[in-house]
Amino acid sequence: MNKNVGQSVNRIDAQEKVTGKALFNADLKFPNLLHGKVLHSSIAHGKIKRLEVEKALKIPGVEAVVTGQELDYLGGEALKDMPFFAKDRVRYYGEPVAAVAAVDYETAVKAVDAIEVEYEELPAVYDLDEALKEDAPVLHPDLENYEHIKACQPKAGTNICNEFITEHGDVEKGFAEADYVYEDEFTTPACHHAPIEPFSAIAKIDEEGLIKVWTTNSSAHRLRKDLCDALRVSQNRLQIMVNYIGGSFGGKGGLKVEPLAIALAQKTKGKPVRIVYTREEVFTATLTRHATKIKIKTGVTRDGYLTAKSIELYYDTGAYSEKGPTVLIQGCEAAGGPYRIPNLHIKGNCVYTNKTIAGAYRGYGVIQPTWAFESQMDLLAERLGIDPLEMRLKNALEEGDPNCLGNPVYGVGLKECLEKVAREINWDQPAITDHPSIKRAKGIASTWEPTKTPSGSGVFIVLNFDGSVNISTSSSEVGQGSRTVLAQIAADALEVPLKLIDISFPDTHVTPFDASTTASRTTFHMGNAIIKAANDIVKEIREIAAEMLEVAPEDIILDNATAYAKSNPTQVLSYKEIIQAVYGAGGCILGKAFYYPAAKGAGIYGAPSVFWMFGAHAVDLEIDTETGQVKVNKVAAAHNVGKAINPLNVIQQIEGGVVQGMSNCLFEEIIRDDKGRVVNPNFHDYKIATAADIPEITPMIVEQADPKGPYGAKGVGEPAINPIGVAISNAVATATGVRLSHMLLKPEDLLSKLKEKL
Amino acid sequence: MLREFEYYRPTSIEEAMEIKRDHSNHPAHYIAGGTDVLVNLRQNPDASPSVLISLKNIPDATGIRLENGSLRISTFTTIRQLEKSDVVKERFTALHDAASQLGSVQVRNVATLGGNLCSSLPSADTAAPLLVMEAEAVIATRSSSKKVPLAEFFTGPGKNVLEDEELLLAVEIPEPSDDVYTSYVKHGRRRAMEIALAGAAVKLKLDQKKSTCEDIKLALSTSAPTPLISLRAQEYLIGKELTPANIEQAGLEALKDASPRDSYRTTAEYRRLVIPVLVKKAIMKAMQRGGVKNE
Repeated sequence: MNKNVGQSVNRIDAQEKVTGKALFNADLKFPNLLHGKVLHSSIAHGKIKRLEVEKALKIPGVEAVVTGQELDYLGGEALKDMPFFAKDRVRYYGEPVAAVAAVDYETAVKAVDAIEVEYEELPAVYDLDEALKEDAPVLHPDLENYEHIKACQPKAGTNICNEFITEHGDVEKGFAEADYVYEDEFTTPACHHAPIEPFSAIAKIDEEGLIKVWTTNSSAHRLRKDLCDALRVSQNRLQIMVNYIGGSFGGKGGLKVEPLAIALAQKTKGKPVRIVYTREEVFTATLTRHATKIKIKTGVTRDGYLTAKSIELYYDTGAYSEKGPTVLIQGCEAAGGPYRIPNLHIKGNCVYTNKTIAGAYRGYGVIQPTWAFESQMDLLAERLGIDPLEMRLKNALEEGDPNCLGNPVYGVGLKECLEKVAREINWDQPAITDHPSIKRAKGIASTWEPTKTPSGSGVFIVLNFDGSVNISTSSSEVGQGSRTVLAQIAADALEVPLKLIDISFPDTHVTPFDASTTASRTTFHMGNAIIKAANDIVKEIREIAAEMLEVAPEDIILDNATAYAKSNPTQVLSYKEIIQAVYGAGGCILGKAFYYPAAKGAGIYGAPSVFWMFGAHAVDLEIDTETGQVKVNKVAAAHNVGKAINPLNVIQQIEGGVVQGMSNCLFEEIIRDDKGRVVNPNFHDYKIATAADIPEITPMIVEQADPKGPYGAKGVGEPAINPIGVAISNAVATATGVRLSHMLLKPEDLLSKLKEKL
Repeated sequence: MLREFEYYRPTSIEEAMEIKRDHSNHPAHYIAGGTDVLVNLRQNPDASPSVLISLKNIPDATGIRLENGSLRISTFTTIRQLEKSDVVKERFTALHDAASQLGSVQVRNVATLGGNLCSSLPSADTAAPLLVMEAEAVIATRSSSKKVPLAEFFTGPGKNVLEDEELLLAVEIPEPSDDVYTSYVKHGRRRAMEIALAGAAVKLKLDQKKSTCEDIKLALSTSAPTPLISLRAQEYLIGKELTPANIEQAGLEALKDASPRDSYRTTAEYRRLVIPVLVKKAIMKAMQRGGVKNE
């Protein structure tokens, strides 16, 4: 019986967060703690000619200095191309070059300043077009020698670290069947995750050589694997521990400060070393979203039905591949859009440039093609004289339809999302304004998103001697509410009250493998694992209770942490009584599961997505034609989540996605000078939306169940960011006739286009 | 990380000036709310002062008083105090417009009027409203004190007339008559936490029929190396009917006095496009406050 699933129960972390008691990584206290500080490259591309650390080592209080020359570790999720510290060559402004550990932070800063570096600058490339030219400087001359997973196809001698090609149907035939064929090109900028908590890590290596790391990383087991591969140690000799994370948005994965702290800890004889990045370091030396260029050629009939799409995508991954190769693959998988497209050809390139590394960012490569295919959808509607909503409804995928890659999709609900948001902003009624210089209009856009497939989640559940429950999971609470949602699923699966459940934090020595807390996969994958593990416990309880009550196990009813026989509801045994009856001297009942969805194909991203998420956003906005400034009046946002385990939490995820996506599209810009240096690494000049900028938002939940999801549920965190930006752009185009192909609606650019039109 | 610096907390103006004088061969700096000074210390450690003299413990250095037809605002009055002041809101409305849009509430709680003026940035939000309201700066000098019209206070980006240990004590603003209306319009990408990309303030005196501009003062922010009074726009509009065409032209006249520049925040070109618009909006806002219904 669902007592918790479907209820907006209070978040289990609410009270400790509101009262400031929740522990974050930098709050942890350690005896003999050393403070680590990193020296970053001051240029975008060059050879390290001289690196002198003697002066730093002589400063009293400095206990270790480490440089890239001493290390030969290479990291990377799909392609091992990234040294912990630059070895002979730096490839972006901000790249770690050396680090020191000292008794206090001030000494560490002084020591870093005392390190002398001389570079010989090399020509640098900052954008995709430059990097793809035949005579472009090649960032990684050793590309062909790097280890990589099968799904990643680097092209030696170029800046392309992965080329991905896929197709379905016959595009030439599809274009021949079309009445019109249109080609359009779109671009999207890099942007920053801007988590409120900066990246930090503490590393400690004990006498037996066990490496312990406390970190802000969202995905403990993936981090453990990547670090163990690079360091060539076995996975049981490296322990990753994670507390609450103050926002990830995809950024807090991969190798960031952890390898740097470990490299220092290798020299400090057991003393722990902590690195906490400053905001400037977070901006320049961690991660951004991929800038992209996307060309779409689409065939369409007179009536507005899509016949074929041929799409080229270029993802600017910065100086190292990080998760770029798989971000590209997921972007390509979604690039067609959530529509019936019988013929499709996709070619994607992931490209190095001399910039901060680009990697996972809420949406995992899908917000960029969403910008492109939904901008083009409005252009097609306009060219054909069809209403943009109708254009989408005509082509929208429905339950069981094959998607553009030929794989059937379930739990769709896209039409319902579109119809709901259209109704909410009164799509049929004109947008009226009484100011002559203000134009007002409505815009709509849809999205879809796959999850990484196949990927596994393990869990241990312990029913304790007193009837309480411990759940051992490596899912991270990054603010998305996973601890609450997983507890709700567990409570119902075990038939116990929510308050008896305790959800662990990730600790790779204790909590079993989970692929990652990314890709909106936790509710689905860890939720399924929990149900499976809970079944072990439920089965054992039934069997013991059946014996005690002298009935068959299938006649036992479980409810509110008690068991009774169907035939005799008055004789009730609590779980505590049951467990204590059999294990009188003390004991527990164990449940375990590893959920790994069956999938065709193997390896990372080798298989069609195990579920797809669908949603649509609509906006009502005004633009001041004298200043180019956009004011969003109202947003309606609907997502099919299969089943809302915690409806309020879903609503908050949708609101958060809308705000972040709107902010990306209206305000956010990483500005570099002509030497590739970031000039705005702070929250004053890197502008994220403030509370004053947030419009009225109506989040709406659609529940078309996913057949494989726990209670029918799937994810929502990532798709919630995707369509808002392009819905805004579509409304601006309707209001003014001006459309920007670039996903940053700067008033400067809108105004100059508006002036051109006059 | 902040560089090491000496930190003083004098309890009187005299003591503060004495400390500054004693450190005349150091890069010494007064600090009030610190919202500019501390950001600069972090962003530019090599150029940061080695001596900071906090003015926070000097008594009687805050307050807003309307006396003898003049509003005196002491230098350490916070921007939030200006925003919360009824007299500022009702009688010196352009200053209220500026105060309520500066930074965020958290910034306004510590930032001071004196700090905003003494940082002397072209974007200082309080400067343009004070310029149109013909404020005077009251300055403590070595021997006594003096008054300088605010129009003569700013000498360049980050520069002003204060010499050596001189200190801004207060600003004094003549109380406007009842037929005068003021406004300030600020333009940024977001609605909070912004440095004005450009801004315009006006003080408008309407005739009895409320159709003609009897007198006007007009100033711009972030449009020149200093906050700037536009004499051309003032001269153009005085005595003219406030028709849409005339208001539009006043904006273009103001642009002639402006010399906006490119920065990473925006382009000179964009500033040139929006300055006339902001002037127009500021005039219309003042007219609305005077009871004129805009088309």
